[in-house]
Amino acid sequence: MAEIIMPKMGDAMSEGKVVRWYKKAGDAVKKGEPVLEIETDKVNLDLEAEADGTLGDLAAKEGEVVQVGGLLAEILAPGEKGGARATSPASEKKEEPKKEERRATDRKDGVRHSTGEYGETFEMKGPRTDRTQSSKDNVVAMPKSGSDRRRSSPLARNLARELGVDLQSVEGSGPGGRIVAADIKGFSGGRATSPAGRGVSTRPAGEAARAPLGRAPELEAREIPLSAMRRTIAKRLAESTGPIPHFYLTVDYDVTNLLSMRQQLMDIEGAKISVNDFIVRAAALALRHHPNVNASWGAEAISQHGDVHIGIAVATPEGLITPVIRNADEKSVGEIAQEVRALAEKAKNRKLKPDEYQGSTFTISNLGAWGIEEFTAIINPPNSAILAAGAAESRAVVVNGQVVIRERMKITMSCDHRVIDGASGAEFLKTLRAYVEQPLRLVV
Amino acid sequence: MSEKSYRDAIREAMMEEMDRDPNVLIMGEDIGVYEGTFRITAGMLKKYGPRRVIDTPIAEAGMVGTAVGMAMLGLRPIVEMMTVNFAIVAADQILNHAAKVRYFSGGQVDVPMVIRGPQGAGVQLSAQHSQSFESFYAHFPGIHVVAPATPADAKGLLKTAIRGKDPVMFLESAALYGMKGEVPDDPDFTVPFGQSRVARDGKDVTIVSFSRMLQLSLVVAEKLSKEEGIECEVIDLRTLRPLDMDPVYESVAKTHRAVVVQEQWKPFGAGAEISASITENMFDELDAPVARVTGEDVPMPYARNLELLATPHEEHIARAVKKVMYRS
Repeated sequence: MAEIIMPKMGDAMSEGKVVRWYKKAGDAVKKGEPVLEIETDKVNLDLEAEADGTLGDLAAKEGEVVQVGGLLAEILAPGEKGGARATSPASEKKEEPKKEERRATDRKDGVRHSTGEYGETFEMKGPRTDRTQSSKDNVVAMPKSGSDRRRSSPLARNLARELGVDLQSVEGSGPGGRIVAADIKGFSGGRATSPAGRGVSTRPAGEAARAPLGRAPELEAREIPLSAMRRTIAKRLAESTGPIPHFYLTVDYDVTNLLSMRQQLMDIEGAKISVNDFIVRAAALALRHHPNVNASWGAEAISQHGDVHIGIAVATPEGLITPVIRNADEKSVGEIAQEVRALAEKAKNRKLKPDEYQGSTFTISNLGAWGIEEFTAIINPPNSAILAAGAAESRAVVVNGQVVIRERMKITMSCDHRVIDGASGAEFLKTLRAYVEQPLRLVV
Repeated sequence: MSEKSYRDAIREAMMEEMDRDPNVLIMGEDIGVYEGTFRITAGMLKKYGPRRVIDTPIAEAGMVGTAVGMAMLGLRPIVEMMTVNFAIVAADQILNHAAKVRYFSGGQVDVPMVIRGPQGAGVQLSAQHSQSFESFYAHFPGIHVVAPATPADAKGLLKTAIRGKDPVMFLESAALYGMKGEVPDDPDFTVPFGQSRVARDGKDVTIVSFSRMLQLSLVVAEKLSKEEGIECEVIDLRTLRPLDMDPVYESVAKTHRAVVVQEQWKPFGAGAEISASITENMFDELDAPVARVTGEDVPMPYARNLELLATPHEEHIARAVKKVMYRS
């Protein structure tokens, strides 16, 4: 006899939910055949039969939560009897409301109809859910049964799906706690339109360097309510590395073109423009493609900011301060250069006003002038990321099988893992690469 | 444009069509000498004579059967039912003959006839004479069902009915006969079947109705706008078969909530068809279940106070609107 038990999918998992059974008790199963679908706090997955046989009694109903290691079903070999471990002691079941008894006329036994047994129609199962459909349709967790099902209007569900709102985290104001559209709109800061227009930000990472970026998309202020998964990530990571769980992504950009352009610009403008001024503009534009990076962690929601304000780490005799270039994405490299000079001057004289050093949405620290090749910076809350830019240096690199000398610059981004995941940080750096390595994009 | 009553608009439509087409005639009980129980046919016998304005015995099945034969042979008869309730006697002629002759004849024979008369409650005619029949007739293919809510629509839709080639159940509202409204003077003014209209623009809730309940819905919509700032969009279906739901869907896509108002009893009524269609087609747009406002599920009482209790009232509609807005 083989058992199907709730598996432990990673250290964090303590329980899982039965989403649906593909088989019922008494069905024949083949080894490797999916028997049921379970949901963990991270993924949904199918559990397969580990042996050929007949499925015994189902130990958990759809929607029921079972502890890791708890029995889900037995697979019986011919002649075997089930019930060796009828109910696992480890399984803690959440009671479901009792199904209403069928009326006598519904029962299979006894009642016959001229066209056949009533029972036949009740045995018929509805068509199985099409699991080839894109998982986008399943974003909103809607348990089929059980006490935690949230009532919601179709419109509310649609809105939640569009806005990425987890229905489980919304309080319903309608009759019987029904979640209605107003609840979703209230939850997501009144924003009720589809974010589908943000096509560029969802572009696969690999394309960013080659494909034209187009006009940097407009940003909109919005709250992304914390999903259960997002809360879990935040809690676990914060527990492990302090209030802000950092992780670091380092890239090595080719800045040959950028340095040449900088020289031309300085010749034209007759003013000093630093490499960092280019990085500020490049990052500001890249942020518009990645609103998830231009964001802040909050207890109830992640705030995506509608504007891009870049903080610049400036060293002063008293210590570090970060004056802010407001709407850096709307300013030219020349304007940024001017403004950075003026703010840095004020910073050194301690003349900065609060609104000149507060309200950044992203920060850049550059130690290139000190000859630092690469370093990691500490995130400047409430930002979710900071760029640490090293010195631009001539280095030998391999291009098309040839060792050539190119100007290179290493940038390390520190990310708040509660807000940004590795892949989304990497996508941002891919977009940033397009701006840094093809700096004409900064002026078109 | 000139202001006319619903009653006069109906008479005008018939007389203009009788002037235009010598094949149009009318028959019914007490429509000639007596000039009609509701005075719809006043002056018509005098003008067109007894060959075209025919007083019949009290024999609805005979009247309709005769009209079906006339229509099959090229005339365009109008049959007036003293009230539409009496057409039940002729249901076999209407549903099994008028509605099916073209089908049975393989498209060779049309039945261009109109059966018209008042229906509905509100005028103290008690249980047998106060019923509404739109869902009863609209259930059957082969017959049009029209239920105008304004004098202009009464005229325009009746002219379309008389000029068409199909049998039409033209359901007038007894309670609206005295209602006045602007009616176009153009003798060729018609209103096509199957074109619902937006009777009032709004953004918060869609109210779907027809006939007398449409007028009641408009009153409630104005009141809610003034007193509560709720803007109802009111859709007048005009014809139940063909039924044009597109303006309803467009409206629901905007308001995300709908209230259907009918005078009929609730079970299997027009509101059931309408609300089911909204749910089938606009499910993802709905923020609340479609609400139905209907008459009470009882034979219509004669007593005035009880009749008022049994028919939909402004307050019922207002309550339903607030319910779908989650404001109750």
